[in-house]
Amino acid sequence: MAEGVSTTPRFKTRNLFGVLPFLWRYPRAIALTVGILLVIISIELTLPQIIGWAVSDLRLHLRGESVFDPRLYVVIFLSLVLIRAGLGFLLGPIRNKLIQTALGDIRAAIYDSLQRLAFSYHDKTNSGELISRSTADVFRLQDFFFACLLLSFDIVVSLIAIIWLIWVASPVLAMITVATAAPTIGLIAFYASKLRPQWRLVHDQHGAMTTVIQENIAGVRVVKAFAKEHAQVEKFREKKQVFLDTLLRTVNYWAARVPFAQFIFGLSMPLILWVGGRQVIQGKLEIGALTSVVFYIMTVGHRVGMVGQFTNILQNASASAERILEIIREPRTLRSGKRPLPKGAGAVEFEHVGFHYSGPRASLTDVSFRAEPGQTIAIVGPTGSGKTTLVNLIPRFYDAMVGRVLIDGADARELNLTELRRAVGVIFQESFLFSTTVAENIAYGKPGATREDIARCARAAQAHEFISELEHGYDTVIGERGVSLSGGQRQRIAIARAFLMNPRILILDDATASVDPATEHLIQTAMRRLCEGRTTFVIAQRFSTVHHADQILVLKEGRIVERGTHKELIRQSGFYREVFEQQIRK
Amino acid sequence: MASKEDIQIEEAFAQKRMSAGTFMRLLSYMRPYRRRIVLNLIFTVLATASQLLGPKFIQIGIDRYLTNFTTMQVAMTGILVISAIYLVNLLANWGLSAAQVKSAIAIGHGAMNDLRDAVFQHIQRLSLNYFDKTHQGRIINRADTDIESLDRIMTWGASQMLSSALTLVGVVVLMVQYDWRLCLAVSVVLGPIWIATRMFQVYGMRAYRLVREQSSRITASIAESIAGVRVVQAFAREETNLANFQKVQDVYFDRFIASARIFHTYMPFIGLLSGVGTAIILGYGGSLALRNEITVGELAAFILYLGMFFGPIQTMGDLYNSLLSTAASAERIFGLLDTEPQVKDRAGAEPMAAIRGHVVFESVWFRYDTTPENQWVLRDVSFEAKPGETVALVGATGSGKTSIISLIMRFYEPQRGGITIDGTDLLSATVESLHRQVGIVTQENFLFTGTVMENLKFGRPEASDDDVVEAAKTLGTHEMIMRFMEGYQTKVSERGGNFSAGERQLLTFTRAMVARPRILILDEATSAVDTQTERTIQHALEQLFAWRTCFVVAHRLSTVRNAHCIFVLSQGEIIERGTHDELLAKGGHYAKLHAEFVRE
Repeated sequence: MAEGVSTTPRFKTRNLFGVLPFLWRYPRAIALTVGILLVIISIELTLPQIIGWAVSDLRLHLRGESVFDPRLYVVIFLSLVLIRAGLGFLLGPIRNKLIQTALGDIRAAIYDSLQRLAFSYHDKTNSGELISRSTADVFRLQDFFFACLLLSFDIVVSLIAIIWLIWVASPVLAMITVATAAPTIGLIAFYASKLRPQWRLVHDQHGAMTTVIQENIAGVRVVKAFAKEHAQVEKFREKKQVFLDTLLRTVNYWAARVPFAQFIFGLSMPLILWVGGRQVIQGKLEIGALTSVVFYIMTVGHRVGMVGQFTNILQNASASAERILEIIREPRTLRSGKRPLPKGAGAVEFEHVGFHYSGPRASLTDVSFRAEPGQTIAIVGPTGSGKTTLVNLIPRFYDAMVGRVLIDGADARELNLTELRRAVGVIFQESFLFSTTVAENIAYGKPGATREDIARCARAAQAHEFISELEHGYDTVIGERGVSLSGGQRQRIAIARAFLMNPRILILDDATASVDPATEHLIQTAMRRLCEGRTTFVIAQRFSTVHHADQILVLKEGRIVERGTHKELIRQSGFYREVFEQQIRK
Repeated sequence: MASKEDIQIEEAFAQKRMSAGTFMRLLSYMRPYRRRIVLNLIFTVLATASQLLGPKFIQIGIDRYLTNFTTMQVAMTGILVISAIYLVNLLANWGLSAAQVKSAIAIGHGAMNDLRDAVFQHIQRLSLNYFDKTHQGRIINRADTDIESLDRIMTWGASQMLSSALTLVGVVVLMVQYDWRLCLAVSVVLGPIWIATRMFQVYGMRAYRLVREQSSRITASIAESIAGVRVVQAFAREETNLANFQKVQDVYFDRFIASARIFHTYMPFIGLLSGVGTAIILGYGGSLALRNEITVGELAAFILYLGMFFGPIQTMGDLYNSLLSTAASAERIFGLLDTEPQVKDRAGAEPMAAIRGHVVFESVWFRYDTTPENQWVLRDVSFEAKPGETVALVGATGSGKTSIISLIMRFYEPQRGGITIDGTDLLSATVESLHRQVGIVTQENFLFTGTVMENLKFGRPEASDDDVVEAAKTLGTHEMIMRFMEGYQTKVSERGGNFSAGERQLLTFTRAMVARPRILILDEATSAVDTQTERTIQHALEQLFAWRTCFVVAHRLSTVRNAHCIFVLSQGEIIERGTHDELLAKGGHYAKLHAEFVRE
């Protein structure tokens, strides 16, 4: 959560227009919504008129000038009220379906954009921020679409129609209404935009306070180990006080202004009572007309109150829309080529490849080598020498900036991306599993796989045994809502997952760093089986794993400084030998 | 197992009848504000009264001056006077409402903050056994969402209840005063409003819960696809994932529409009831007016008062709902406040003198609250560590290594046996004085938001920047820190997410060094650091080990080789002890572990 003062983004209509196309896609539903809404508004505005007529009629009757039959009014009134209720009942689902469909489209667009954006995008963005954009920000657009479709019409149409209706009864009264409503609307909109950054600040201070609480609990062992309980209470109190002070200051700001703005409009009632009353006494205005004006004023008051809400919605939505559009419009730097993957057994060739990240991370300079089908290539070198970067270029997680990467003779950039990636299996340093069943995790790359295939791969990956011991076997749900697995178990599932893909090229990022020795043994066996008959790239820190490699590439600061088999490299007195001797000496 | 989100939803929708005890206890937090509460309620009564008077003035205006008047002059003056009175009433209402809101928020949030303070302080006192058995999300909720959910009742409860009740009673009284028959006829709508409102709240809440649950699933899907984006792309799963995501969205869509349908049935129904009420006034009231039994102004006032029926009933229903969820929250909060810390200073406990580092375990038996009956995590563990010695604890996961360390830290207390440091029984010392002198680095490597410098000074805030830099240099982490964007002033994001696990680990090492502990404990501290870096800091660590008592727990046997003594643990017992060479020569458990380790 953001600490300190966050700035309020400026209001930009451009952003709002950017998300409207998601709504425009459904013109018929829009027309229906607005149409029904207009009928409801018309009925709403007719009701005070009927009360007015009834009152006038009653008054004439009492004077003996006509005959008043209440039944007629009751029937008309009731039927209008019934129609209004019916239409309201109808409108609800129509407009909700419209808005929710549009929001679903937006969410899907964000989701798809995120999962297709290149690694380089995800390297530099914060995942929490992305999640909040695809949930909280989309949620704010719900208010915006609601405001567009309903509030705006409700406010504008109602106000114009009411003022016209009052004008017909008495122009002076209409002028009073405008004279009081206009400044109130202006002030409320003004205060709403003034208050927004203040409320944001309150929200941020609250967030800062909550962060202290969360960290205190998450880090309770550290707090206790250092005997820092008192310091934590002090820190919390400080944040708590800042939050409370800011909140009260904001409420005071509100209390000194917003009720005043509403009060200005409130003046319309006594003014109309007085001015309208005089007209009635002078016989220039029907008592019934004055009564309906009184009811109209109450309706206006309701709409005036909504202006503040409307302003807030638009401003929030502008910021949210901007954040959402950024994701949807983020250019896809990695595009699939058109050429199908050529038949082959997995030859990989790097031709003078160069690559660098935008941040201060390992880059590659002039890397050239050729891996024959079925060979095992070990890549060694110190942390930050570019080992992972090198293998990431093979399935095109990143694109080489200089030179070419050839897969079975074809430039990786020209190949169909899906086919390429399915042909390259990767075991990452941290084995990420999805919170679904074990079986679905293993079949991740091949959703249609049979249970036999899944079990076969699990056996090969030394995972079948522990999976069978789980309560629901292969149907056990893992992850946050299910069973949690140990690092070694996760890794074996990841290996089974790669097995099922039957890739021609395999990449193993040193994956056994934090597993205890007994499990490590199992994993090594599984890995060895997986490598059989595939071109394999291994990143390793242990020498036991690189012994048998057909070729070892020693990387230092992004360059290949030595290459050869273990025996050859040991004979040279280079960097490889130096590190090797260090490890033996231990 | 439930996720954090599941817990939040479960707790947010929990409801309970409020017991008298809980209510009184909540009330006790309002006590410091009692004067302001009285004032607030006076504002409320006056504001409600002025609200109720509005239609009355209109009625008087219509009846006395607009429909019946003796002379034009009297009527003109009269309408001016009544409008002026209306204006004054409006002014009063304006001032009173603003003052009422201000004071209500000051009171409510003041009391909530006091309670939050009490909760936070109590959390500091609680022992680790509480944190072991309670999901982190739940503890955070006590000080966060549970307090927030008291807002409605603590801030607005009293004044809204009072003003709603007063409005309802006031409207009925004023209506009866005009004509009791018409009042009775109009009151027919009250029953259906009440029933519809209650039904809406009960069913609406249920439906909303389903929406919330599904919306949390949407969030989870998105979060997962971002966290696992590398795997998604490696397996070219984009199409399938999008289709699966759409399925999750479809369920959300259906649930949302179902929940909205309840609202969109309720609102038109209330509109219908208000229309029916007005029709009754027009029809029945109109015929009464025809017989001159009620006036035109009274008729208008009736319609205006009818409009005041709806708000209070909805508000009261809402308050009732809030009261139910407040009761659930309040009980959870008080449950936490009533939890006694397991480890606390004994009566007469004295601060520990400067520790030399002579640690002795004497027949220690220990189990956690969560350990199954009849099982022990440590059984009859005895050992001695002399000042300046380095002791290594080796053994499989669950063998009791971390438990021994937790007991030295007195995070827990043993059920049997005793632990002394420099001859002082740990139970006779204050916990704080112990923690100030014992440093620990775990694999958890937790960092706080703030700067790197602030984090390094966590254990000893009075340390100077130079002290910190010196400690980092001794340890060999200075260069790494200088490589960060802003060196020691680099901001640490939540949980240190902007650093790699290895970097975080090295920072926690430095943090422990800065604190200058008398006893140092490393619990799997090097497992997140790669072998190469480990070798770099090994030398520095050995220097630090040289003049303090150290306990080291490690998987990698390379780190324990130089210890003065190695204890091999199995199922809570020390099964072998000795130096590296002695144990190898012995050819026992340790030798076997070592052989396995070397093979890799």
